[in-house]
Amino acid sequence: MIPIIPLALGAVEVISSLFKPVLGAVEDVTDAIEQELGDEEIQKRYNALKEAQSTLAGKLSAERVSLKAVTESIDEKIARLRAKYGD
Amino acid sequence: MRKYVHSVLFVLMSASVVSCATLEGQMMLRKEIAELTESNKKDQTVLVALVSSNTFANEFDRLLDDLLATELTKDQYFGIKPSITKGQLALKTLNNEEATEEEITKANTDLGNAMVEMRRWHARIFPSRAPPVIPTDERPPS
Repeated sequence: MIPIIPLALGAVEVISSLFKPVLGAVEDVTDAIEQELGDEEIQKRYNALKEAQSTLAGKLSAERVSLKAVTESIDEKIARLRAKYGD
Repeated sequence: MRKYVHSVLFVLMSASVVSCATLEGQMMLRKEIAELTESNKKDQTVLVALVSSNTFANEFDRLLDDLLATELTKDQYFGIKPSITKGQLALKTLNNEEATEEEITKANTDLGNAMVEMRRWHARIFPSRAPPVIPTDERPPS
């Protein structure tokens, strides 16, 4: 059996580390507006936010690809079980 | 005097136009940030569910390897089959990119529940491979 709890805890850590840059970028832009920083600075921070979000979207896409691959493997094995034991 | 007043008015009007443009730009930016933050929230929820689902799915896949590598009795197969079907259905939703975040979250929970049931059956079918101490709520069905 797979040690599910350590894996889950590891996943939480990975996710937290993924979100930090995005949340930090949101705060940076909001702070820049609140502090009435110049347009250039606000734009710079906004661009950083978009970049961080794009990274997050990339991670999401990678998870989808990985899940799709393992699902295909699962479907194929379930089909073999059905062929062997019946439906 | 009139010229002076005109100059002052011109400066004030220019400043007000610039100020309005800046405010409008900042309002647009705030709106965009709010939208990005909202879409980001959805991405985060879905990502959390998918990371967790990937962990479950990999365990599911390995469990199927074990089942395929042995001769199951009809009782064992038809005992574990509903959980397998439940997990497979949950995976179908998780792989649907059109699914809402609520549907994804529910499917992840369903997959987790199916895995708990499958683990119990696995422990019954392969008692020697079961963990030495199984928590009370994870004991195989009697």
